[in-house]
Amino acid sequence: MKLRLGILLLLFGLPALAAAEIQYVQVEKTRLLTKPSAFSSAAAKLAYRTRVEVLGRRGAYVRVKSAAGTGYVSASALSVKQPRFSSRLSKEYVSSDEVALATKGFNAQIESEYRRKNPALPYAILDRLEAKTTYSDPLQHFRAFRQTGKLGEFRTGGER
Amino acid sequence: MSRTSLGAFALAALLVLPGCATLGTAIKMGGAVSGYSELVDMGTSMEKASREFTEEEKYYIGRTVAATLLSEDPWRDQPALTEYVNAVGQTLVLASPRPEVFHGYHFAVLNVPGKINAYACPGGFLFITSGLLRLCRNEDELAAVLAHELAHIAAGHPMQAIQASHEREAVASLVKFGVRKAAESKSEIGRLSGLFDNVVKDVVRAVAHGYSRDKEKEADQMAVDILSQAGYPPQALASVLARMDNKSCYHGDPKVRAAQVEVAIQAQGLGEPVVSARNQRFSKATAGLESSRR
Repeated sequence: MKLRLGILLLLFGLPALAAAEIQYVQVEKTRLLTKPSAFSSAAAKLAYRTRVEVLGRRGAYVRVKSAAGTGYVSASALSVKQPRFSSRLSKEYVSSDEVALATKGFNAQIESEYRRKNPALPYAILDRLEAKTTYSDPLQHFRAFRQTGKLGEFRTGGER
Repeated sequence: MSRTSLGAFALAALLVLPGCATLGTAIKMGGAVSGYSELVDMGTSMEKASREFTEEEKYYIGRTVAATLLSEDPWRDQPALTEYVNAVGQTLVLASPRPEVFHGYHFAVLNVPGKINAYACPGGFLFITSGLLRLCRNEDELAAVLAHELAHIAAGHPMQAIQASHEREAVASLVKFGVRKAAESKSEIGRLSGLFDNVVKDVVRAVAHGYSRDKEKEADQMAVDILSQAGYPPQALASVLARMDNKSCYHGDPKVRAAQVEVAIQAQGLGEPVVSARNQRFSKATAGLESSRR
């Protein structure tokens, strides 16, 4: 009985799901854009592992439907495979064993072990650099910079 | 379930579902639901055949590559300069074919006046030495150097430097690690850390010493597009390359590369105006390096 159930799930359940093309957000967060352009305004932000339905493609952008609405996402932010839980982002795990099971990869836990074996590597400086150069919204943060320098959407001929 | 039945089952599934990874996962799920460990093992093996490093793994590999580079060449922790280099870099990112990486891009200047080099680590860490920054005469040339490094990341060159045997071993272990029970996985972490070391060393070697001439040429061509899309004159790449000598760490003769870039620019009819505001802010941001500018 259990074997039949497994086979039925494989033969009928998954092909039905495959009818709609599904992809997942593979970066910490990405902008759900109103237009297929890097300079477009964002309707929402989509988090890591968010499931989206692909509606079409426009150049380097994918038109998607998500729980947050419909819009465009950079193709580089999406993966056909659902990413595993992230050791960096998952708050729900309390022990290192749970993290190891849930995340399964070269992750914060492996880095921690590597750091222990290589104490001379300046991870603390890297952490400081990373903190100083992480921008919650780089597009808005550097808008005046692009405008003054006639770059990006302010370049000669405007947005492409 | 007999071996013949398992084979027939797998063949039927192969006809129904495209994509080895999807099929492997499906067989594993079917096995888990039905309680047949043979199916779980078969599914795991099929997943293993198609496993590749995830964006998060590239980020962690890149962090350790970046930490290794920083152990040799210190960060020039000068907030205004860091903000300026990131402004140029983030402007180029918007025009890159790969604008999104796991935790975003981070740009920094390494304080090594005697070294002319720039580095692109997987995961989005990009460094330029103060020696190369000094060689740049304006913001457009700085953008050209950073666009070339961004192109290496967009083309996946740092991760391609991992030796096939190291990648196979790491990926196989990661898949096995993924199906271990918690108690077993604890002892596996030390082994994975060793494999991580192999992978990191392969990438550091390539990032620090450059790629093949073909890969450098590919990155130059892509950089021309990135610069043009961002609004910077791609001619700046040819002009900065033309002032480098063969002793620099860049692979391939920089004069030959400059000539190839000129050809690409002429073929595409690309051209962007020089903007004086950009030259002014470049001079201000790099004032501390000015005394020894060539």
